Amino acid sequence: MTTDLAGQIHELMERGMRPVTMADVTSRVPVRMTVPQRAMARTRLAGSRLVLDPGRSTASRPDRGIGPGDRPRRPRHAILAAAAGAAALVIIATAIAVTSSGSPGRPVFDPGAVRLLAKVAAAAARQPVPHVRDSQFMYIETRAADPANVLRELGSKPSPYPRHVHLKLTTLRVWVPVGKLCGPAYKAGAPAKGKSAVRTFSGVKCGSIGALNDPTYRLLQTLPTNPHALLALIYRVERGHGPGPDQEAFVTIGDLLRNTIAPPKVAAALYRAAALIPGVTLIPNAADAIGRRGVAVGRIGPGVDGGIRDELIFSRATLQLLGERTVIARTGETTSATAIIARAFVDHRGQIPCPPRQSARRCP
Amino acid sequence: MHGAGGAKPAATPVPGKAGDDQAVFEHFVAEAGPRLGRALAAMYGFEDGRDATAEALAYAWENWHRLQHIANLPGYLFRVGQTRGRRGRQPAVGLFHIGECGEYSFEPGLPKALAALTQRQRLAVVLVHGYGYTLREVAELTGIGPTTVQNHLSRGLSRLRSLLGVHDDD
Repeated sequence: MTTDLAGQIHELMERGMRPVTMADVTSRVPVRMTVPQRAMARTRLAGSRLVLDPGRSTASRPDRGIGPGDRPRRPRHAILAAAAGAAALVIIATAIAVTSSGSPGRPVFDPGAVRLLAKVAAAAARQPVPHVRDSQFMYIETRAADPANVLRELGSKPSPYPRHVHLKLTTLRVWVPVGKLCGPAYKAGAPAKGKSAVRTFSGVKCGSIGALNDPTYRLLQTLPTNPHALLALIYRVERGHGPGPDQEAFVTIGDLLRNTIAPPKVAAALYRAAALIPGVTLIPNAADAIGRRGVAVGRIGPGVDGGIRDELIFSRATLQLLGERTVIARTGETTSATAIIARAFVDHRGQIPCPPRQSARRCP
Repeated sequence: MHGAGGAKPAATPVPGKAGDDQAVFEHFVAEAGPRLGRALAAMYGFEDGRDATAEALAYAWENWHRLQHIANLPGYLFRVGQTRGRRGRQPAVGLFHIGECGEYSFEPGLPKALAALTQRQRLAVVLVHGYGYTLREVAELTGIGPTTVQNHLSRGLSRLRSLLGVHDDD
């Protein structure tokens, strides 16, 4: 066979390569702040609290352009004093971490949580990159244990919690377009106790690849893979929402990990970004909505009874995300939980993928 | 075939103004970015290569004051990109996956065959044979001697032809 090999190679490369834009470049430039620097900034901004309000932080200020050589500046004569202060703050922060981990009033960086999230991120990054078409759908099946007796829409928050919670198990099946949202974005079914209810959500304009709270796979592919840049983006988008910026960022990361199929590098960046949020702690034992036990990271948000702790639960064996749950911090009572049952790419809306080891014939 | 252009130093910036810096950097990205992207994509595949390119350019932007005067900045960033590209290695079989949509005129086995070459063979084959770069241009960008590039090219082409079952028509 005689062929123009040079032309073929050129065609292959031109078809496969996507150009790198300035937006790709600037989104990956990290805003460099060490832990002591962040702690110092927090101290300056919030008096005696060691909590940075990310709305005011250098990392998340939306009007701050990231420029060449852009670094936190400090007067020259204060460098030694600042270094000594930073060292002292590290010691204080470590002492607080050791003595009062889990205390809702003093969020700190929990080394155990950071280590776990690093391992989970490494495991996520090792996953193969899926090759998908715009016409396909992300299929996500979850089982949710909720106090409310109504079908819960993706991303919606549960109502205020009573002291004793009776949870009801619901199955949610969601199809999110890979390419562009158009018309009915997704469906959710609730086959509970013989009744089957199906809802179709719509109202999304055609041609959109979604937003951070309603992403398609194509949007997820555009997210920064640098955890600092990703966290800054999340803070920026979620500014003014939820009970507080840190909690909202943590919940947003949980939603993105649970309700989508993130590309491996983005998933890894999301886990690493979660480790950067102050107040994220390790929970050695946790169970998801169907009772699968694992290890979790959690963060306490404001609320009655010491606040509500949102937890991301991981399998100890595979380090994969099993699900989520929310717990009343003081009593330890579970107020809602989710278990991820299946996630896959399917060719059309309504298609349910075959579970592993099940033949195609038996698949619905 | 596309000309490559030499590995020229970045245009002289007007010091002092961030806006000027940005304009000069954007000019640099427009000029050197595609070359860097092709080289890193040849080595690490479409996805990891693109990531490595973006990371290398982000490093350049972050350190623009220090790096803009380097004579062979694309070559320097190629090495930065190599460091980044080594981090996320995906299986060789998926390096040049292009999906199933659309029509194309190249051999269906070409992506797999290209992925079977060594990184340096791929680099030489893609840049010299696929894009028409001179041996000197590739040598300047990658820091490998022109003779070594030639050797990689010959071996790479020979192996590629053998894998595809084609014979030389040049």
